[in-house]
Parts: sequence; C-alpha cells; structure tokens
Amino acid sequence: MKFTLRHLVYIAVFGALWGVLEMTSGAYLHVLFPPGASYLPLVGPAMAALGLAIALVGRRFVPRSGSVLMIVVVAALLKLLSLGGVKLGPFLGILIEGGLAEVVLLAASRLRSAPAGAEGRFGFAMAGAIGVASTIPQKFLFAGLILGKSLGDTYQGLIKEGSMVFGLSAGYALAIVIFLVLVDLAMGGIAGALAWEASLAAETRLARY
Amino acid sequence: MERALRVWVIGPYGYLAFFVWAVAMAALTDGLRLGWVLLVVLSFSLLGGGRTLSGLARSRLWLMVVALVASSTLLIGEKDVSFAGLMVSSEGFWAGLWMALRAMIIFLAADILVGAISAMTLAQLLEGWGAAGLGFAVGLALNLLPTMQRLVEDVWLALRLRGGLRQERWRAIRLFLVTVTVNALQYGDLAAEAAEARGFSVTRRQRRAIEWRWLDAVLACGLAALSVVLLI
Repeated sequence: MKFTLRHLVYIAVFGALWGVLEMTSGAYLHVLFPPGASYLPLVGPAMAALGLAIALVGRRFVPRSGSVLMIVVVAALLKLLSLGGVKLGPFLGILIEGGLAEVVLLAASRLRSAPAGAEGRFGFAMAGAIGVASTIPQKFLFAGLILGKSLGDTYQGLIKEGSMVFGLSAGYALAIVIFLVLVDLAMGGIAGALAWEASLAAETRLARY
Repeated sequence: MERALRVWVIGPYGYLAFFVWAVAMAALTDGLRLGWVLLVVLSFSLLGGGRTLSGLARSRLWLMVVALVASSTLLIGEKDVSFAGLMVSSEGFWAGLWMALRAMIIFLAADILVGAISAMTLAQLLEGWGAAGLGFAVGLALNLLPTMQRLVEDVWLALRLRGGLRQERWRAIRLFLVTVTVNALQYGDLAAEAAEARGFSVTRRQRRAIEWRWLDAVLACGLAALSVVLLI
C-alpha cells in the first residue's frame, strides 16, 4: 500500500468531498429530522451510497489497494466535525462501509487479474452494493454495542421503517427485510456503476486539458 | 531574541490540544456546561485575534441553528407549551439548543485549528505519531474542506441555474459528479505541486521537528483542569 504524494493529495481531496457531503446534506437531514424525532426512511443507505460513489471515483485516480479505505478514514474523521457531533456509530459505520467496499474491490481485482482501479463497472457496482447493504447489519451491531438497545427493538424499528417505505403491513416482516436488503443493494450498485461511469468521463475530460 | 519571543506564542501542539479538548467537551458535556465550553472557545478565539469569529457572521450558520432549534421544538418530545398559538415541546427546544451549541463549538474549534496551523504542520504533527501518509491526508483534507464546500455549492448552483436539474435528472447527477471530480482533482494537483515545492516527501521523514513550547504545556494543563471542573 505505497502511496505517492499525489495519491495522498487525491485521497485528501476525495475524503474532503465525502466530508463536505456529510457536513452539508447530512447536517440538513439532521436539522429536518433531528435525532429522537420521526426519521426519514433510507437516509443512512442514501448517504452511504453517495459517499461510496465519491470514494469509488477516488479509486480510479488512486489506483492502489487500500485507497478506498484511506479515503473512508479521512471522511470518517471529518464526519466528527459535522452538526451531529462526535458519535461513534456513524464514525464506525463509515469505516465498515468503506472497509467492505475495499475487500470487494480486492476480490474483484484478483478475479479479473486486473490492477487496482481497473476493477470494472461490475466490480465497482458490487463494492457499492455490499458497502451500502452493510447498513442493515450495522443497525443490529451498534444497537447492542453502543446504544444499549435490545436486538428485538432494533428489529421492530427496521420493520417499521420498511413498512413505511413499501406501504406493507408489519405482518409481512420477512418480505420487508428482503425488500430492504434488495433496495440497499440496488442503491449501492447504482452508486458504484455511476462512480465508474463518472470517473471514466472525468478522465476523458482531464485528458483534454 | 526571536526564540525568546516565540515561547510566548502558542504552538501547533497547543492548538491541536485545544481542538481535541473542545471536540471532547462538546461530546461529553450537556446542558449549561456546553455554554461554558462555548464561552471558553470564544475567549480562546478572541485571544488569538478573533479572526475565526468572522465565521459566525455567516448567515447560513445561523439559519442552520434556528432551523435546528425550531425543528427539534416541533418534532421532539411531548408538546407541553403554547407559543404564538402553536403547541411546542420544551424538551425539544432544549435538545435542539444543546445540539446547536455542540455544532457551534466544533465549528469554531475547527476554524481556530485550520486558521492557526497549516496543512503541512498538521501533517508533520501526525507524522510524528507514526501515521505518515494518513496524517498528511487528514491535515490537507481539513484545510480543503472550505474550498471543496464552495466548489460543490458553485457546481450545484450553476447546474440549477441552467435548468439542469429540471430535465434529465440522471444525466444532471452524472454531470455534477464529473464536474466536481475534475475541478477537485485540478485543485489537488495544485496542492500536490505546492507540497512538493515545500519539500514534502512521503518517503522521507520531515527533518524539522515541531517543538513543544512551554505555553503549549501550560495550555494543556489548564484544559485538563478545566475538563475536571466541567465533568465532575
């Protein structure tokens, strides 16, 4: 994981962009839906998808294994400065999402025998999908470890969120969970594919200068 | 003579200690104690010339604070008070106010740190703790935040004013991401060239060590004592 000076600067740039996203969009969502009040469904996965899209674009310009993880660490540290303040849950959440995306990219790189940064649209989409889908298990992990909530309460909250999103009765719990996982995978997959397309377009535009 | 004068100035370690203290206090204290922490941060900023206080003149910050308190008052807790013919929650009001105070403390402390220490110095500090590349990246990212925020806002505004968000939204999002990426990378290139010009290298440790000044130690001890008072 050797980075040149330019790589480190790009890591800082993409980390700062994710940080800005958290400090603007994240802060506005925090204002509109303060913690403890009613929540907007799928905010977490949407923010994760946008953030991972930025980190994945960064992967194209820092073609080294570990680059997404570095961007994520920078973004997570900057997240501590956002309106929500110092919270361990979101901080660890960003690290987990980025860590999983990095693992998927490593696997994709090995499978395609391609260097880092050339994992392809499918590799980027898979990295985004797995990263965003991790927001569901994260709820259970942090509920017990950090918030001190029972797993049952967390599960009920998840079903309530799902029933709001899909307009289904809470009785269809299994279907709601499956739909939520599929929606998260789709959001992450789209974000990853978009990141691949955008990074190629940015490369083309930069080559013109 | 110059050295003698320098000991009377707070050094990078002092500013970093103050930043860490302010963020920790914002997280650990509650209620009126947050007001005391904000007062200390404001006083520290004034002692340093008050340059960072200009950030408080930004209307967007106050809009955010008012919106945060207002939305909490309307959305959190039981509505137990009548205000201007509207039932609102006193619990929500206080929760929103404390959230706003926390945000302002962190915002001001970050502004003080970024205003006082350059990205290179911050990178050097973190490098000294064994996080060479990461230290540089975090230090630079912290300094880049205002520039990147302006860049994102400018691109978004340009796209909106040209009606890009009304039609072909998918294309608009892609265009937004591409434009932000290209501009950010160009800015990054300039930052990399500046770092190279200043002799920064990732392969070699920075020779000039950052020294602890005695005022840094006094400040750190003072902050530790203040923490005890605020937390107990």
